[in-house]
Amino acid sequence: MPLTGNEETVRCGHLIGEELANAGPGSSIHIQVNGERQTAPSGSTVAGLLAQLDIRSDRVAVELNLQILDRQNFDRQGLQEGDMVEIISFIGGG
Amino acid sequence: MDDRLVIAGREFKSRLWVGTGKYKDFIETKKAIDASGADVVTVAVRRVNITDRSKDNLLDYLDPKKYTILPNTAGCYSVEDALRYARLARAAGVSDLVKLEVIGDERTLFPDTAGLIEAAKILVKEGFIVLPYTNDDPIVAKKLVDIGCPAVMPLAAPIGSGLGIRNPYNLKIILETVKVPIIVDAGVGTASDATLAMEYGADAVLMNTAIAGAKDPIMMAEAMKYAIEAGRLAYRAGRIPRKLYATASSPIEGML
Repeated sequence: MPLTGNEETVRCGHLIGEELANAGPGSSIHIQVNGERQTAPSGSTVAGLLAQLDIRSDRVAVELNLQILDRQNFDRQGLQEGDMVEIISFIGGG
Repeated sequence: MDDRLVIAGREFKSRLWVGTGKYKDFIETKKAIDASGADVVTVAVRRVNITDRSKDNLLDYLDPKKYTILPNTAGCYSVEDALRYARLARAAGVSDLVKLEVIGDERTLFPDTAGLIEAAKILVKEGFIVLPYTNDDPIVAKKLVDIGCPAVMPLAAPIGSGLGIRNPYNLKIILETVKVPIIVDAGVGTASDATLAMEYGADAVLMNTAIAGAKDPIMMAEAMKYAIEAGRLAYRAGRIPRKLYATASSPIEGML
């Protein structure tokens, strides 16, 4: 398979692929993100979820089960089955 | 002479504040804001679109280092919602300013002033710099200042209505009696509306639809830039009084 992007990107892609390949029933959790059902690998963190959704963590606010998170804790805050996550940013407005 | 606008210890060069809503796309938004010369721009606080993963973010076009980003609590009809949105806006890590809107009615989008005062009180205590979008009631304006708002933003007319200043008498009373910067916000339709607000003594004008909804938004943004400057200079220059009868401009002496 031809290499695309830089080596680091390819390595990350390979790791996620491996994780998904190893995922079976019970190793993913069902959560709600912005009102929609999502699955995430069991043991995900908020930072991991943002990466999974390809969302830059700067300039977003995250609310977990109605609590606004300190952005410094994105990589430490774990997610559990049934969690409700809101990922908020700025758009055009008056 | 330096005539900078100062609010809560922050200095702004431009007295034209501009909203970022209702434009065709981010490119038009940026062009219009640049044409306007504004350095304060309002933004709305909303869910990130998870499904549409286009990489464009408004702040990629409006660098928070170059512009002062002023998040609003647009769409909030309750104190609880306004607090939630303001806190989320601050948690995004860009600003602790908030344009506080607690809306009372869907058709007029007039503020629910009781809710506004309640929310403002709480947010001021939490350390927000609260700029409340209010109506033209001088009593409410004074209350907002008393609870710690460093500026007040009375509406000229309903948002997007383009009617200009509906109640100049109340606005003048606010300008005379309320001792913080007054930013006329909402209802401006065209350049003369903005100039008038500045001639009365407003410290700044915030507008969105007047520019974004114009046939040529970039051109209108430029018009508004001059309108604000002209109005401010006229105010500082001190206008002549209004008289019922004429006073000739050319002397009688030397007439044939």
